Amino acid sequence: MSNKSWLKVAMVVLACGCIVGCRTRAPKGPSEGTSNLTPIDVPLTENIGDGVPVTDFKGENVLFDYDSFQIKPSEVAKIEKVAEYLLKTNTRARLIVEGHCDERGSREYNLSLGDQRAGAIRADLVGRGIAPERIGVKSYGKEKPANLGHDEKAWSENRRAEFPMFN
Amino acid sequence: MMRALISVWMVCVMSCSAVFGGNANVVIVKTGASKSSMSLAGLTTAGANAALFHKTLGNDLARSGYFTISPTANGTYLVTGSCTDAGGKLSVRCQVRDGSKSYLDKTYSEEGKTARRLAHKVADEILLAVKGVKGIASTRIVLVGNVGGKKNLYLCDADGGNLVQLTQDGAIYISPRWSPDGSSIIYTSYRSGYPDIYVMNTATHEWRRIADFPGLNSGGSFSPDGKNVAVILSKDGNPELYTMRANGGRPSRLTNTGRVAEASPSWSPAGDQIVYVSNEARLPQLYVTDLSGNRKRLSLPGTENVAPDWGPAGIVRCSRQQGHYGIYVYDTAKGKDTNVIAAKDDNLDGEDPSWAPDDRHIACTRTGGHHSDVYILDYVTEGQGDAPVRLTTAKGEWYSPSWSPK
Repeated sequence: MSNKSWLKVAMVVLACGCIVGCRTRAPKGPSEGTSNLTPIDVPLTENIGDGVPVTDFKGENVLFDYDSFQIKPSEVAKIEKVAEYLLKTNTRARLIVEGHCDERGSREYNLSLGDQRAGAIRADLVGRGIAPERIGVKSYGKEKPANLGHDEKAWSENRRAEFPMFN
Repeated sequence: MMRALISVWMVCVMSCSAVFGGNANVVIVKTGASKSSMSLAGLTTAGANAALFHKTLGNDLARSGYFTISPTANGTYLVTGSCTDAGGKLSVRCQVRDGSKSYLDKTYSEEGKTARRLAHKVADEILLAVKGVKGIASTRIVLVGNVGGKKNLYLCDADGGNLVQLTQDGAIYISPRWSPDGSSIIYTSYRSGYPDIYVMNTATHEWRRIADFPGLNSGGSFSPDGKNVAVILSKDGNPELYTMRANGGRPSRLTNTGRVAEASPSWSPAGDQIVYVSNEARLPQLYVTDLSGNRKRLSLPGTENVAPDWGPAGIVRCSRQQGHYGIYVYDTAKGKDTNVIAAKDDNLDGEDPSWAPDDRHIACTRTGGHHSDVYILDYVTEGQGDAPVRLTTAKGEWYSPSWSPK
């Protein structure tokens, strides 16, 4: 019980720290270096059901390294745009972070890895001030490749998170 | 050069385990590795279904790993009698003897269309009578087929015959596994839109969702007594290992590894431990936990170790070594690998291994040229001339086999 309280306090502190951080950050332009937000486990409340798909914004796929769920510096700006849309443009939209993997390796492990990728982005978005209940995660593992090829290029495009949103 | 060295090493490993081994699975090696000749030439046939029966019986007996089927009427064991297909009825009289003893003398009568199932039954009865060993000819394998982009569950006999489709909606099906009594299978499906865990009765084909927590619900695996299941859930924000009652209910969390993902649980035969995959050390490796959550990493060769299946003969797994995925068996008592199963000389990756109930055969996925099929391997004779046997021949991708318990 007290462990849970501590976790909540820690989450609030992290989230507040982030909001402050966001305010001091330039609204646009690429970020340099790794994200200083440490993704933590943010419990899920419920799955995000389908609704009317958001059409005025499409998040760019966030790409990952092989067997990794770390958010790369090159991908941070993409997540910032998603956060900005949810915080400023459409404050009621709900998001499913879809985690995907390339075709190599165990199917079941890839399901977990895809979930980890989606979870890392969700935690990052929560850290940026978006209510956890607006963000669900769904892992497809290696079941839904974006590129059906079997080379490095296809694999790099398939190790990704997608951002379907609903009104 | 490297290949040659690997082959030499494999032969050494096989010889050493046969000479120095003293535990139960090596006894299997000793009895099974030497094959007896058997002739079915004295079993006469009349009719198409009778011929199918004869052919299936011979294949089953060869595949058991205990016999070489003689092309002539000579052999250590002689199967004689008759098999007649008349009026849609298949009548079989089957006798088995060697030079001094009769092992089986039995008559069977079945519908002609079940010739293949009858052959499987008779093959298992012959193996039991002659070698005192429970066979696998009558068992079944559940698997996933991707046909035209639709991923569904399928079921086939242990020889790949009688392939039937268990689901039709193509809603992505993943990792089916049998219950220990063989009455049902547990699997992950996206039929709700999210990955949830279901149990299907294999006789009635009725299914029920048992876990639909927010996020990932996967890896369902029955405990040996069938009362509990191990599952992977991400409801607490990260994939973790849990156990719960097999009919659903409140999950109890076994791992507590923030920022680390767990996957692929499989229970020990005694039901007191679970082997699973975790990327605690960044790349996926195998860990064993007791039911209180005390865990340790298995020290294994390979940059990745995944998809474990724990049986009485050890933990069979997929291991990535020298850039290839292969099938390996880890002896938990000795604390080391006893066998390299997948033939490495054909460049096929071996994945998703599943023990047969004879603790000797293993079903797995083998992939080459971006195409997957299900094969069976003989843990005892692999590397001694017996090549993996391909089970799936239909159009499509076939993978994730799970062998029925009986």
